[in-house]
Amino acid sequence: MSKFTFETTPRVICEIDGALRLGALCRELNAERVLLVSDPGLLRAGLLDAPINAMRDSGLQVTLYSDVQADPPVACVEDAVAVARECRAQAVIGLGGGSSLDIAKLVALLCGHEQRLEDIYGIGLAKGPRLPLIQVPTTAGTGSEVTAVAIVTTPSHEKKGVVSPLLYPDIALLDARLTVGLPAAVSAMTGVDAMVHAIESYSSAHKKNVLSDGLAVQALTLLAANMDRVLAEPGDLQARSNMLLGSMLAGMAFANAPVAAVHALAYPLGGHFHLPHGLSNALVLVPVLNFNRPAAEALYAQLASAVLPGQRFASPREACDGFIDFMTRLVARMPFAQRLSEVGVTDADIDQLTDDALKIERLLINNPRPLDRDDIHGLYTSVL
Amino acid sequence: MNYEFRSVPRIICEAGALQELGTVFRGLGAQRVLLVCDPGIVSLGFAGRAQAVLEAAGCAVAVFDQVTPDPSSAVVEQAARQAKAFQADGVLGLGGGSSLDAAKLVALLTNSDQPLENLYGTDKARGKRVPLVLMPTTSGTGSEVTWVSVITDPQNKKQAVYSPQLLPDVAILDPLLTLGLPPKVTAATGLDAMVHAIEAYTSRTRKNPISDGLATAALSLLGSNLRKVLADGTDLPARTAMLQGSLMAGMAFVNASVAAIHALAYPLGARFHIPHGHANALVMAPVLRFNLAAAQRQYAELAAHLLPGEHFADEASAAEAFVRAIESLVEDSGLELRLSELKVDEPSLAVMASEVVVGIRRLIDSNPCDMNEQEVEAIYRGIF
Repeated sequence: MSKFTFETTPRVICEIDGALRLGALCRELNAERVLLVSDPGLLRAGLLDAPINAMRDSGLQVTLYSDVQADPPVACVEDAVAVARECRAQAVIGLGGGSSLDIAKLVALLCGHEQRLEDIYGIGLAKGPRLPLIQVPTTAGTGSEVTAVAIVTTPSHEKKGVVSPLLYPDIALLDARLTVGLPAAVSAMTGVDAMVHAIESYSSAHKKNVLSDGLAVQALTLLAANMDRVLAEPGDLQARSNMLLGSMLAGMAFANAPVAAVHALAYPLGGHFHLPHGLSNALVLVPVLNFNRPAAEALYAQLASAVLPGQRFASPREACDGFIDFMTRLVARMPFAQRLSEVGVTDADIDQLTDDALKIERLLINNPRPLDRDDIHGLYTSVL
Repeated sequence: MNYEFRSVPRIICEAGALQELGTVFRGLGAQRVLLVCDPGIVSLGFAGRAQAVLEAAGCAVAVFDQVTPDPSSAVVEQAARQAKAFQADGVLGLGGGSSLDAAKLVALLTNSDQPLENLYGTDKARGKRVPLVLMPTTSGTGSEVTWVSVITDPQNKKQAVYSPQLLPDVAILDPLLTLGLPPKVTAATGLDAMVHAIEAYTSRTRKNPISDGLATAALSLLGSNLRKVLADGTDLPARTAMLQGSLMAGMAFVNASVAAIHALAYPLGARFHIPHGHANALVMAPVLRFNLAAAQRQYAELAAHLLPGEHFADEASAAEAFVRAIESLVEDSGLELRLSELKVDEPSLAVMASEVVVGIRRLIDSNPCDMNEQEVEAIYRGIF
C-alpha cells in the first residue's frame, strides 16, 4: 500500500545566472580544483566561457573536459577520469545535457573511490565516497541532475547502467539562462520527454508514492503551461525556468517511481535509428496513452487537472479523454517528426523493434496495462 | 524566480519500518548509536524495540531518554556529553518534535567543540555532524525534514539553530508508532501540519513551485485524513497518510517559511507552555479569517485540494469555503479553543501582541498581509 523509499538530491538551486556562482558553491564543498565536464557543442556556442571565467576569477583552478558525445562510450569516461586525475580535481561539475551529466557522475564516483567501471554496472554496486558533484543541466528534459543512474555504451555497443544513490549530486543548479539558446526542435523533444517522465511516473505500476505523485503533478503542471511559450518566445526566462524546474521535478518523480512502456518502446528506436531520446518518446507517447486507457483511466483523469487547470469534467472518463486529447494535440503541434516512416523506419523494421522492446521487461512491468508481443507490434504499426 | 530548495536525501515510509533501523545505521557506517528520546517513548516500549533492532544488527546503543517538551539547552548539552562519553558515531532521534530537534543538535555537537550557544542563528555550525536518522512519532512538526532546531535557553527564551547539517541522512516514517497517539495530540499535531502546508503556500517571502507542489499534496492528504484518525486512531491507512502529509508539509514550509499563525502561537508556547500544535490550532482560524482578503486567490487554490470535487461560483466563495472548512475542523478537533481555558491571563494579551510584532517580525513578513500590534491583540482577544 504505502510502503516506499524516496531518494533525491539534497539541495536544488534555481537561479538565473546561477552558473556564475559556481565558484562559491565549489568553495562551500571545499574544492579549489575543479573538473568541468561538458560537450563540444556547448563549447562552440560559447556557453562555457562565462561560468569558467567566473570560477577562475574567484580563484578556482578549473580544468575543462568538453569531449562528451551523445550516447557516451566507456572510453569517454576513461578519458575524463584521466583528465580529472591529472588536474587532481577535488570536485566535478557536469554542465550540459543528459550525457554530460551522466559522465560527470561516473567521474566523481571513479575518482572518489578506486574501482573499475565494469565492476559497478548494475544496481548498488558502486562504492563511495565520490568527489563533490554539482550538476547543471542545459536542456529541460532528462532530469539527470536528480537521478541515480548513469548510462554508457560499451565497446560491444551495449548500453550499461550504473545505479547508485551515490550518483545523486550534492547540488543541482538550474540556470535558465543556459537554456535560452536551445533550438526549437530540441526544446520540444526534451520538453515532451520530461512530460513523459511525469506521466509514466504518476501511472507507474510500481513504487508510485505520495511524494513522487505530488512532484509529478507539479512537474506536469509547469511543463504543460510553458511548453508552447518557450517555442513561441525562446528568450522568455520565466518560461525557460519553469521548464527546467518541471523537468527536474519529473526527474525526482521517476527516479523513485520508474517509467514504463513509452520508454520501453522508445529505446529500440533510439538504438536502431539514432533518434534523440526525447523524439523516440514523443513518437510512441500518444499510442501508448490510448492503449493504457482501460487500465489508467482514473490516473489520467487526475492528471487532467494538471494540464487543464480549472477545467471541469463530468466524469473520470471525460477527464481521461481530456488529458489524452491535450497530449495528442500538444505532440501534434511540436516541430518534429510525427510518424516513424518520417525518420526512416519501414514496415520491415517493426518485427525487430518489437523483439527489442519486449526485452526491456524491467520497464514494461511498470506499465499500468500489461503488453504482449502483438500489442507492441500494433503500437509501432499504428505510428508508422 | 530565484530560490533554493533543500531536502533529506532519503525517506523511508513503511508500516514496521522500525525494523530497518539496523540496516540503515550500518549503511551509514555507524556502530555506536545514541538514541535520543523522552520518557514516554521508553514507557511505550518504542525505545526498547529500536535498541533491540540496532543491537541485533551489531550496533552498540546508549539511550538518552530525558528530552522534555520545549527542550532546554541544558538537556541538549547533557545528551551531547553522553554522546561524547559513549563515543557515538551515529544519532537516532525518536519521538515528537522536541526529541527530533534535540537529536539534531546532539549529532552536531558530538563531533564538535563548539558551545551550543555559538550555534544560535543561521549557519553557525562548523565541522561535520555524525550520521543522523530521525523517526517521528507524531504527525505534526515535520522536524524530520527541516534544518532548524528550536530550544529554550536558561533565560527561558526560545533560540533557533539553522544549519543544513541539521537535515538527517535518513527520515523514517513508521505509522505503527503513531497508532496510539491520544486524540488531543493527534488533533493538535495534525492541525500544526496543516498550518505548515497553508503558510508555506501563502508565504510572501520564499514561496516557490516546489514548496507549492508539496504543500498542496500535503494539504489534500491531511485534510482528507484528520477526521478519520480522530474518529479511529487505529486506522492505519489514515495514520500513514497523516505522517506522509506532515513530512511533505515540513519539506514545504522549511523551504518557504511559515507566517503569522506561527508568530502568534510562539508566545503562547513560551509563556504558558501550551504545546506548539495546540497553540497553532488556537490562532489558526482567526488568522486565516484576517488574511482572507489579501490571500483570497491562494485560499481559493487551496480549496481545490482541501475540498476536492466541490465547485465554487467564484474565487471569493472558494476562499470563503476554504476558511470555513478549516474553522469547522478546528471546532471539531476536541481541543480547548479559548485562551482563558488555558490559564492565559488577560493582561498578557497586550504583552504578547507587542512581542509578536517586534520579536517575530520575520514571520509576519511572510504573512500574506501585514499585521500591527492592535490587530494581533484583537486576534488574541477574539479567542480569549
